[in-house]
Amino acid sequence: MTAVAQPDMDEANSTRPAYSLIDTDAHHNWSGVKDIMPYLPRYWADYITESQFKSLPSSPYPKGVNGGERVDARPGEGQMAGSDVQLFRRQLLDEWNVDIAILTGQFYNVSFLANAAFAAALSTALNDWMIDVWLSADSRFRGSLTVPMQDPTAAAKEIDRLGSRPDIVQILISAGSRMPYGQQFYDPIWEACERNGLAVGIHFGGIGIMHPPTPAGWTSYYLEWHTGMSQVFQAQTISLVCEGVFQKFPGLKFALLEGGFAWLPHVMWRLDKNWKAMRSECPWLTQKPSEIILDHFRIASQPIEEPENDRHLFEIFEMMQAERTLMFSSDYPHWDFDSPQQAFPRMAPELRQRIYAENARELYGL
Amino acid sequence: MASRAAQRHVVAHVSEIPHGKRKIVTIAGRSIGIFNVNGVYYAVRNSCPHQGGELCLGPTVGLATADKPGDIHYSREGEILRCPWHGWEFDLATGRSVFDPNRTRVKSYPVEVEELQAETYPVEIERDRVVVVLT
Repeated sequence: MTAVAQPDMDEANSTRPAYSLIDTDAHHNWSGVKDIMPYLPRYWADYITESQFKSLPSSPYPKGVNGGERVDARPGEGQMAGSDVQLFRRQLLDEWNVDIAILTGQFYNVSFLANAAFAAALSTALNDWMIDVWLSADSRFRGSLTVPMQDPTAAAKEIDRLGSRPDIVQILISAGSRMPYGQQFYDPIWEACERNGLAVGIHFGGIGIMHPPTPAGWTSYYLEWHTGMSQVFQAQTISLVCEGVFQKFPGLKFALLEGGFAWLPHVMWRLDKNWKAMRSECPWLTQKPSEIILDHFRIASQPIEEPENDRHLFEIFEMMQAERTLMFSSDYPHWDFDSPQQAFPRMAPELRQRIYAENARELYGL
Repeated sequence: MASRAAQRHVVAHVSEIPHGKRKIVTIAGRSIGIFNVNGVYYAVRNSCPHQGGELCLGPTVGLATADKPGDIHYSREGEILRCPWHGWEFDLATGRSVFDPNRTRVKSYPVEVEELQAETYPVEIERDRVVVVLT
């Protein structure tokens, strides 16, 4: 093809996609709360020292597999996987030729704390630390903001403080919550995200003041908790759609991270069916709920469902319009990491490009 | 115009279907419900396009709309027919469903009120008749 010469246009970029692999769930980590002490106001630094606060609330399960981490991702004996920038770059970005990694940390857990002011102070410190230590280290990193979900006003303030930075692409919150995310308590947060052009990442996790992430309560085993992760994503998706969040904030987009994806057709069908019967309860829903989902939600692939027959996976892709909705994620450096080369069956190049790069590029404006 | 005339069916006297009431009749093998909403008559097929429920046994309700979440506007009371099975809503005036007016509809029929002045008894004038036009 012939192209009109444009001096400021990279010719290669006009014919080839800018990215071939975007990892939408890459967990950097701190080596401990000491990393963020310099970023905290004196009051909160002293509070941490005096209270001997060591780590954010975590899930109540000893993680059955290697403490939940890839053993080879630990920088040293007794150290946290994902806590060393150089090893992270080498083991994820360089080894797999990742063009962009969305850093997802472990820090949405601040919202599990009962003390909202503490959570707000930690959020600010964590964000500043991430920018200094991680985002400035490699241009392939993009950041997710930590915000205190206990206090939407404070969360919105933090979003306004940093949300316009080009290297910040979303806020990241836990799938477990105190109340469904569609409820208007959270509106100031969604409004701030829309104002700043940020997506909202929802990542599996929750304890502390959060409800258990299964509707039946706390399961006994990590195996159950990990298998049932899709339930809470369904609850949040249904809530966000039915409460009219996207009528209030039409520019808002969500990324659903680490909840699997095969449940999506089920929810779309069931929601459409019930909407036909019960539309008058939520009459602001003037289009099929599945259309709202397809417009406003993107979903990360890991932990990928692994049916014995690959064809079944492709049938799910068709049902969920994976060419629009699905984004590759590795979950590095956790035990259930998905390899960019091995996790998916062979796909048509066009579909692979959508899933591995384009859907994330469009969502995050990369 | 013989065929058109043949499609006109007298189904009731107006007194049989007062405001807010309905009458279900069978015309040419079809079950059809005739509704009176504020003095206006509507007729729709008594079968929901969803799963064949007897639509005309359902409640007549208003139309809930909202310009924004939580701000519900309720209008056209009595003009929306809800299927007694799964609650699908239909506009009595057009037969169109509320959720998908272009593609999901129930057949609706024009209804006319025919004024009949003929005396049948010296002291009583037959009241107006409701006529459904099969189309």
